[in-house]
Amino acid sequence: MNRITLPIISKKIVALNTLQVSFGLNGVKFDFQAGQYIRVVLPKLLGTPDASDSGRELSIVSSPNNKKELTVVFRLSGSKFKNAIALAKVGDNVFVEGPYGQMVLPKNFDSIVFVAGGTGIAQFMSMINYATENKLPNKIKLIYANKSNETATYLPALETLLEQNSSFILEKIFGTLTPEILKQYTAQDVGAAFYVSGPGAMSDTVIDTLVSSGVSEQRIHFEDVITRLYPNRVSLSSMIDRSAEGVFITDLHGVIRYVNREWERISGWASEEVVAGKFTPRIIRSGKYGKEFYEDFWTRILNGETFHKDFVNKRRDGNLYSVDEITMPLRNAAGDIFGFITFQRDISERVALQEKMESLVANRTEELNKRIGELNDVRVATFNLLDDLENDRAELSLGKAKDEALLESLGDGVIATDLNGRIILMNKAAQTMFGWHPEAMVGKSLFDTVPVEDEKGKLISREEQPMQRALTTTTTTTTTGPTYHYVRKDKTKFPVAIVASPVMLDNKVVGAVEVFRDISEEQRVDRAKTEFVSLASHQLRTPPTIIKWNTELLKNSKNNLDKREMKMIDEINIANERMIRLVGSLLNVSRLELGTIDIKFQSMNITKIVDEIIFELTSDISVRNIEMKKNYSNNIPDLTGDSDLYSIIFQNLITNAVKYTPSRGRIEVTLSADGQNFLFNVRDNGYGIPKDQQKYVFTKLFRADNVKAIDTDGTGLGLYIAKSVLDLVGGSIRFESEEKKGTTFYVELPIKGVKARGGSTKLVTNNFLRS
Amino acid sequence: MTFENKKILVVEEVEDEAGLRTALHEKLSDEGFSVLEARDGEEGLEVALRNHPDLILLDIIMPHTNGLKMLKKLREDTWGRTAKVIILTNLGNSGSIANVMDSETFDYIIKSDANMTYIVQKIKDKLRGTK
Repeated sequence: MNRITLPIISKKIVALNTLQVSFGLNGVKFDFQAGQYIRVVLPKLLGTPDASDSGRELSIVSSPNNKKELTVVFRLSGSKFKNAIALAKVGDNVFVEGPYGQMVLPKNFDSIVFVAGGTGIAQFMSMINYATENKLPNKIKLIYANKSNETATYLPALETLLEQNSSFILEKIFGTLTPEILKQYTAQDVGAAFYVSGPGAMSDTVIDTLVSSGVSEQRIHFEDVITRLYPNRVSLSSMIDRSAEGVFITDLHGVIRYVNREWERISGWASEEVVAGKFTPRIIRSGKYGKEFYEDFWTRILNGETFHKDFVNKRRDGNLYSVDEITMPLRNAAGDIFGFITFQRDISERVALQEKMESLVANRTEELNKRIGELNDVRVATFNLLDDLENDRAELSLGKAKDEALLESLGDGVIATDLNGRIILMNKAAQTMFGWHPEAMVGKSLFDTVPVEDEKGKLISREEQPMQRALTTTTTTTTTGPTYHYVRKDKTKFPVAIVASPVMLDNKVVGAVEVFRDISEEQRVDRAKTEFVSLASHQLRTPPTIIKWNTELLKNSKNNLDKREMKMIDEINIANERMIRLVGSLLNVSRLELGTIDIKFQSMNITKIVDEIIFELTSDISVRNIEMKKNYSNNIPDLTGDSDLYSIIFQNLITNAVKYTPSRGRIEVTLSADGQNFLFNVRDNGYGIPKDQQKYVFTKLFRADNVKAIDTDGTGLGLYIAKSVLDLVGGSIRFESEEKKGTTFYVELPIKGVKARGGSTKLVTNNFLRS
Repeated sequence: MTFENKKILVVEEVEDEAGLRTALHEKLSDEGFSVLEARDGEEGLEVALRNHPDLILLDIIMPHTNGLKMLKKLREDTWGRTAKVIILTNLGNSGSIANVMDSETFDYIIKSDANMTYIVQKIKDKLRGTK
């Protein structure tokens, strides 16, 4: 900004309340054009702060030709600025900024009409002075309006100018400058350039009147308020010109009178072509809006309404563009509408963006709809699933109810525990047996709540209990013996048979379940049964013994029985011996099952025992012409164990071989040892055991179908007893057999035998040839 | 060795088993033994301590027996300590017998297993001291 300091060189009242101040240039170069103005800023010394309020725009009265001084004029209004400048002394310095103002004397013109009001005369004075001084030939008319004679300034000066310049016409009007007066004074000047300066209301009236009289707006120059107030900023018209919004102005008939640069840009039309021809905004109609729309539009704006709408317009090149448009009426000072101004904001980008957004939204909506559709499917599927689950649940509840009823009705006790052995379930039977209420047991450790004892009343450690084994080793334990006794709440005991199994989930143990049964009644019955058999056997043995001994006496008597009588006695003896054997076997079975067998621990010569057994069978072997082959290894050590028990094994096996081998058959008895074990084999080429019955060979009272008829003497107890005895002494037995080809039994006995065991009973050895 | 006049005491607990007792008595007599009889353990002990038989055949019914009680008392006697005893039983119950006897004197015969010839043989063996 150009800012210079100038001294006040003179002050002079030139009319009522009107002060003219001159600043000395004194060699300072200050170029301006006639018609421009300056901004005068007072330094602090002069009583007002050097701020925006301390400055005023003042028209330059003096001509640019005057290089000595710069003269301004203003009316005193009581403002601080004006008071301060009025009170300033000649010689005081002020700051001067400028020059400003577009309303300068045109370079080429035929005639000019200046319309001035009040101090608005100042800038015209400068122009007229300048024109006169430079002897410009152009015609100048000044219409000078003042409220009264007193407020008019420069009247003498104007008179002088009239004398000096023959092209200058002065029209003085004291009072209000009405449109009628103005029209009257300007009737001949339609083609002139008009300059208007003065109070705002006067200017508006003048301009309106001129326009309505057919003066082109392009030819009317005036200083608008904004420009006047803020001269160091752009002027209003230039603001409009440079506005980011497209602006066009039409007259009442819609003929375009003005367009700004932005409108040129967005519409593609140049200002000259549009304003020069009598174009209306039809040129940008896109054809998207109908006749009724425009009728409505016109009705409204002619009624003075402001019309605001997004429009699609057509560019000069035919492309469409979108604007946010506001059209509002322009009114003159009298309030009459004389035209319309339209602001158009190019929203093509916004619309494009919006369209893009809309398309995106549409796409997204479509996607979402699709997704919603899918979700709906899922929802339906889920509901179906829920339905299914509900059905399953109902079935499960029913199943559960059944299971629970089943569980409760079970006669066996059922207990389930978690991994730590805490009881999670027990049924009614268990409750009854323990004497514990489930509420008192569930959640507690099974091992703490129910002690387990053996038959002697010794506590069985947790590690040895079936449930703990199920939990830790995942083995299912089934107890059969009389080992386990549960202790009730009242400390009494009862023997149990237990089946404890791990509960597996995904190959991991999560708990265990035990099914158990009070076997005291079974044991009692079993014992009673065994004792009955034992006693019965005992009672059964005496009569055959009486028969045996008395027939013996009879045979040896000196009464000389004849052959027939002797044969009868032999028959009695044979049957009696059979009876004795049968009773003995039954007795053995009962004792084995009672588990109270006494096992001796003594050294024995096993070969001798086997020989003895074979010897006892000599008559049977020779009668049937059976070839008996003894195949004894010579390194057989003495065995340690119970010879009576071993005898029972060998006796049963060899007797069977003899019994079930037909005449002229062959039997081979093999004895050997392999260091740990004594091995006894007996092979025959007899009847054999049918394949389908081989699995029953060691069961009690089993007799193979193919020999039942051949030998009616068998009890079906021999092999059962042999197997039971071998189990007792830690031996083993197996066989190979084929029907009609023969059978081989293989027996292994530990050479060192089993520990002696105190028991109350002995087994009966049969068939010793003591009869 | 002749067994004539060897005294055999037969203690027969089972009163109603005359068929056995008679047969055994006859057999032993036939073999030349002098046979003494007692009806139960109490009487048997009395006869034994009085007559000092060469051998006592103690016929007992297991497990309900007072024959073993008699045996125990017999062993407390000076003569009885070394008296020769063979137990006859119809059922082996070695555990109970072992409880009251040391193994040297532990000798028994299960009646149904044996005929009388065998029993006589055993008696003779025992009298000879071979078994």
